[in-house]
Amino acid sequence: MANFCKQLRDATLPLLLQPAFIGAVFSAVISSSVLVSTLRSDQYEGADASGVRQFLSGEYQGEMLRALGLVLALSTLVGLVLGLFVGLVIRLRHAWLGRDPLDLFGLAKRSSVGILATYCVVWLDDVGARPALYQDALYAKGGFNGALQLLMTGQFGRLALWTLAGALTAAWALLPLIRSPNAKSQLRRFGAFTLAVALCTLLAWFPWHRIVGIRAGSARGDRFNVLVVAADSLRPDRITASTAPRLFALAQRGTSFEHAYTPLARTFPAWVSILTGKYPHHHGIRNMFPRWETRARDFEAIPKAFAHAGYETSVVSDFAGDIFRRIDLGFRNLRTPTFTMRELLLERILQKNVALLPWLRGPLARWAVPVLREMHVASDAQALTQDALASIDVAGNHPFFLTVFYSTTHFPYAAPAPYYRQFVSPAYRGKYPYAKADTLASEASLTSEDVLHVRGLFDGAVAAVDAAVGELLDGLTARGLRDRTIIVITADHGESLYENGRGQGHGDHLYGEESLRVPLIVVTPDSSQRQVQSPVSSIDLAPTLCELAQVICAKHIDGQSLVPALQGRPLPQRPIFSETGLWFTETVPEVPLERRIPYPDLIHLTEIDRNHSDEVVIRQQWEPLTIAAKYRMIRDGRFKLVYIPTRLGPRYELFDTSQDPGETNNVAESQGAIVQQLKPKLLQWILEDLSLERQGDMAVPRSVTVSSGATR
Amino acid sequence: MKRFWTWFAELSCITIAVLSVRVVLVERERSLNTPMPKPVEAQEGLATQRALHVTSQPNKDSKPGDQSAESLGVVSRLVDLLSDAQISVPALDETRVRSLLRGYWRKMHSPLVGAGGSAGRLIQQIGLTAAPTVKTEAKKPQDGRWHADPRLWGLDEGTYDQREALLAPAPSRLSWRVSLRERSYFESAPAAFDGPGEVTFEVAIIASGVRHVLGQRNISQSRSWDDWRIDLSKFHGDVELELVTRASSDTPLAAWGSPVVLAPQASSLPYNVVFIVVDAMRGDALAAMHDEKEDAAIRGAANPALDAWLPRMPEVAPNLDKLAGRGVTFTRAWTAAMWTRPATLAMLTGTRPHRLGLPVLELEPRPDEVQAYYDRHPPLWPLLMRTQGAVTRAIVNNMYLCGYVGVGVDTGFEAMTDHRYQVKDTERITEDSMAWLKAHRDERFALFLNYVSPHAPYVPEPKFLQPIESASIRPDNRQVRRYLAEIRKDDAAIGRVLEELDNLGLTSNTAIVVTADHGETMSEAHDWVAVDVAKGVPSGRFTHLSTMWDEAARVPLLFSLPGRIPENRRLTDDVQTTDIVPTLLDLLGVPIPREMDGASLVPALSGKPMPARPVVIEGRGAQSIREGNWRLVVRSPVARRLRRGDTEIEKAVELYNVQDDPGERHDVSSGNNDVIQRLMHELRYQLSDRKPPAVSKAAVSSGTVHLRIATAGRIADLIGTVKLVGEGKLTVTAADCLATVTSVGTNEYRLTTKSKSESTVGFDLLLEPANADIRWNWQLDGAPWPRNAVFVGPLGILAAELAEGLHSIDSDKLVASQLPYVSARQELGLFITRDSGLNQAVTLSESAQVEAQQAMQAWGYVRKNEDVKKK
Repeated sequence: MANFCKQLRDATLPLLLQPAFIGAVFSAVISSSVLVSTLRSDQYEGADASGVRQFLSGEYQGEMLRALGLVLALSTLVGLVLGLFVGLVIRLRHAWLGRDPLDLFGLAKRSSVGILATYCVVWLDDVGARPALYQDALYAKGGFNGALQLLMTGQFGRLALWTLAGALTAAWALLPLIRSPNAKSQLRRFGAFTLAVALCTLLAWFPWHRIVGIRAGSARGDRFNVLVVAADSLRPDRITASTAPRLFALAQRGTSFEHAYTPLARTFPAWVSILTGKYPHHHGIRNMFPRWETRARDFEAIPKAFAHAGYETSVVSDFAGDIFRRIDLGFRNLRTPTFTMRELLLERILQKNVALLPWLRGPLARWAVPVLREMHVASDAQALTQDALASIDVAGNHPFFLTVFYSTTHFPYAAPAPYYRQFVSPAYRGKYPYAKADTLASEASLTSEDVLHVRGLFDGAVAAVDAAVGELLDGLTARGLRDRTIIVITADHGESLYENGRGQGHGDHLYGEESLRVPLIVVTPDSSQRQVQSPVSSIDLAPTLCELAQVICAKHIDGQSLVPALQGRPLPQRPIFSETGLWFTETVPEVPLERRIPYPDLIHLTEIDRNHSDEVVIRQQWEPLTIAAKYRMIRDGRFKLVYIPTRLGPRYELFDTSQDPGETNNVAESQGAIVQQLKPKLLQWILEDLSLERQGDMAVPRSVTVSSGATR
Repeated sequence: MKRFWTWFAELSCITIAVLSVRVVLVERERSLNTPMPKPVEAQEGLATQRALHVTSQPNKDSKPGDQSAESLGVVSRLVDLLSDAQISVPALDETRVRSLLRGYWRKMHSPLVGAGGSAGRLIQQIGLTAAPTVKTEAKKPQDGRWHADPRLWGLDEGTYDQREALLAPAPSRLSWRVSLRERSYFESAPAAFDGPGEVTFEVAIIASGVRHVLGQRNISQSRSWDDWRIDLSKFHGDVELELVTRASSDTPLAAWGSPVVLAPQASSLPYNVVFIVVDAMRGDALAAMHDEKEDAAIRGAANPALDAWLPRMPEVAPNLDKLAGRGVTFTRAWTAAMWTRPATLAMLTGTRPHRLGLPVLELEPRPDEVQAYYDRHPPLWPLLMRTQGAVTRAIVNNMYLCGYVGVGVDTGFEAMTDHRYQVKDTERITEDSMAWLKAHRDERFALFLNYVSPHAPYVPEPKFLQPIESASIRPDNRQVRRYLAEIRKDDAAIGRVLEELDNLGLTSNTAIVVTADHGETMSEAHDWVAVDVAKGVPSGRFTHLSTMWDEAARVPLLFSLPGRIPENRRLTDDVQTTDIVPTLLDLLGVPIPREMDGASLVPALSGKPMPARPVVIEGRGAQSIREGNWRLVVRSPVARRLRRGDTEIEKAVELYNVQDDPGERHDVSSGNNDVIQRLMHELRYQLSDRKPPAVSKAAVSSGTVHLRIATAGRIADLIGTVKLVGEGKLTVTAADCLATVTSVGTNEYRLTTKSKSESTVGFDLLLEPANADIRWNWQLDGAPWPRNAVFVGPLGILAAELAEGLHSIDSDKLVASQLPYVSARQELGLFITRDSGLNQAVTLSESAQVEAQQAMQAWGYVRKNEDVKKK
């Protein structure tokens, strides 16, 4: 028996003591302990989590297990590779020192230390590089954890870390050499090693694809490519020489529309409007949660027309771009995340695993774990640029229509290093050091310091996107495509950042310019700097692109082509319209209950459509109500009239935007004539919505809803 | 120095290895070219996306026929790939197209397949007929003459050949990037429709920059589709497939009928299917459907069945009886509906008819009902087979399956031939299917045949009548014999089709199902006709349209698939025609869509007992449930007036004890109230739906007014009086609260309750008649109700004029609506609405939904505030 035990030990011990095994066990143990503590302590922001967990384990047991399994497998793999690497380095050092081969225990001891040290360095580096990921786990906890993160996110945190790590490694590798008797030959060996490593690095990371790319771009027929670059919530006033130097420089080469507005300041409807040239009531996407019947429609979006004309149509995006897979807009290649319960589940489990996160960086990780694209607190604009360039290369000899949609500027404004600290005070110790957590609950206690910091975070996110766009433009130039491409810079909507006593966000109300105004910069190969003051809408972009590229698009669109303005001719004067999105709660600060038609909060307003990829959709029962309850506005010249349906009938508010740019002073009483002049135009626009009918001055749901297929 | 170079060489090797890994990764990244998941499920895997539950996997050991591994399946259905095509087609002149509608062909935009938008408009279901003129009239039964009816089309005799087609008015060019395997074929059936000149159809492949023309056809003025198969085996890999039409004259209309690329092993289906339906064939007409035990029980019942059940007659359907010997017979199979359209659709979708959005009562569906049917994306068997790479084809005499006919809807077959003849249809269907099988023997197919001879009128040829004349039957009636002779005619035809299958060597890998959409009423005692439903029909006998009898509800059901389904087995489980498609899917290894009501019978086929399920049958204005010994028929008001000869009676409910009284002669509804209540409850449960039933026209005699009260989060005393003015009746029920309702006069009540802080309370007032005037008066904590807190309609808009009551139900603001959302903790108001299916019941999954939403919210995908947290 004892003999057998000995045999067993002899057989397994060499395996168990291998660095790779040690690494795998180490990583798996750390990762699973984090996993267990996540699952046990997950309070879900104060709400009782047991019901949620019960529901998930009942309804999504398979997905839950899959996610947990994936996390564990990834951790093990990471540990395995780490162990292999550390073991190899230790063995190499031993070899060139000319020492006897290490025995098992010696190797195990040394590699354990090496693994631990490497793990710590990588982890600490990520804490400084992507601090938003660790904000809850470290900063929010305060004490040592908080101090650690503050240290790593400080000006010299990561630099110090790497200097220290480098110095220690060098000392470890070189000190024995110097003391060794035959130092000369060893140094020579070390020199060879360093040279080979340097060569290896040079060859491996040389930008081969750029050389290949130039070939791809050289023969693309006579048609212009179209590149639509957008950033979520990007405000035009933030495109300045200091926050966004590359975008600012680009704007100097093309036409900037100084007064461009979105028809609905929420991502999904706004994008569909941009790509169809239609107001939301004409394309049908009225909120972020359209039902399957609506999503299955043909939107006659311009990418489809471009695809039919032989263009390679692609879209690249991260978390805010999950909308692109939910409907068919005609993009043939999509590098965008999905929006389903199961994906969210995996993302959630990954996001909480602070032990594994440092290793999930770079293209390899995003290729292996596509759900990383969905992470709000780790959006990587630079990676998106790489995807975009890959999409351009995929197009081959076809002209391309590429949409790149950066999400970093969307809240929580979590930019990676170094951008997150570029525009904020390093002394800030408030609630949102690295990202604006997504809660309304604590808004009341916001200090002016918080506000400044959040604006700084937003600017940092803009800078991160700007750098990525810069890289994209460089990539375009390297491929020789710069003068064959129409470039558009825009956004789905703006963002309110506590201006004029209003909160942060977009889509809840129609007051002020902050959330409704978007940048719109069109750069054609032959254009020069021009600024257009006439008000335009996002819906004008689609017909403009169609005309510029000479592609035939759908006939019935609301927008008008901006090509005259690009050529320096005046645009015809016409009013601009907008509407609000869905209110997620009963108590939106800017929209008090007495100034709206109430409907249930989001939880009771939506359901999960188990028949169609588990998407969250609005309940059919409430949809007409939410449409009738929308605020709508018309902006004609300097005046803006807002229609506000309430239980007591419609209320109209008028703002003189030239006298009162903050739109805080309702002049409907004193300027009755203007109200009477704008009201019919606004009502006419509202009633273009076939699901509504007029009752007095109010638009109410049609008693018999017009079927979407009635025109078939 | 030597050491140095050794090290250098070693490390260079590592470098090269790292480099090649990186190159592979970059390439991988480049080819990471994810295709868009199509939102329209009809295009891509209706079954795979929807079905989350699979009853059982196909038997992997079963050995399909030899040719099956090589069977051609559909690799690319070009109609479905239209959004990926390069299209160059001249604009369609809609006026001309419309003028052509009067001609010899019909089209409709394909509602179930293909893309939407401008490209999608090219996909049309086009029916061609050789008939020189198309009557836009229908024969009305009253006088037997033709009456103009724009919604009924083409009831004239003729063959209507329908394909899902791509319109390609010349000159046109459609091209797809396709990937070809070995032994691929292109198949389509082109047609040209107008203009004197010819249209040249050309199929070409562009491979490595060279264009190869593979075939050309010149076609003009088609009366049917011109089947065409082109061998593509010379080409492999990624090529461009180009379909071109050209013409000398100006843009004649042309179309490619169901263009597909076929290749071996493209379909995962292990078997072909031949699905045969014989309209109005009674179950007991087949000798094989008789179970000796049951026959004995019927003969020995306390009350004899008399002429309601036919005896076992081997001379009626010898071929089907033979087929039954090769497979499994369900002797107790019931239809899901009593007439053809709902019954066939229920069969093809495995779904109870009322859930399909189409009326079961009315013959002609309204346009919005047809739209509702399409919008529901019914899980049609042909569409499911289509996603599995099978070629789908229907050869029928059944206009209900054609979408462009006023009484029909599209059923998703990519090709369907409707042989609409009184007498020669059987011959045509048979010839056509035999020829089709021969031409497509090497393909994986799903073939649907629909014979209709036993349907009235019965006009059999003498050769079929002769063997029946000599048989001893009950009831001994000339019409019954003629009916049976019609079955014999179809039996002979089916026999020929089965023989052809044998000759082609397809029997071993083809699943065969034979059934009927319903039976036919034969018994003299079952002569009753529902007068208001079947207007003008003199008798319920020799028809099925307005009767609900067992004899007309029972259908034959035979399954055969040698090697997979046992031979010569009779099963006596109660099954329904909605189970057929789930069974076929199960046999084929295709997941069964969750929304199907039917269940797979595969367990029963292999000898396992099926759980007992009640049999639910829907008829025109009546529903029936059959459970154990009992059969209950519930009639809606429109179907209650029954006439037999000169006798007229009214019946709302019928109950039969089918064990004692298999002939359904003794209605025992008067003495068995408890049974009726139980069965009614079960029936209601079985017919309950995820959506409220449409308000029937007959039910407008009464209406409900809903009052809901919120008091801004306060708990307050509410006292109200409600009074109905004039003639009529008022019934008050409390909603969401405990209330005291005291009658203080004729149709006058005093209502007392307390409001709640978190939700509304209220009353539902049932008014008869619906437009009666009512007065009310409300007090809040003793004070009169504030006039500016009375709201109406789905938005809850101020209506101070309703503070004292409701003067007319037709008040502009009081259109039927659901209750508005009331924020009970913050709003003070009396909310008034009229009835329109208050669809606010909490479903079973509601709590799960809320939990999921909370998870979403907690994870930051949904903004939250303290209000929500408290909930």
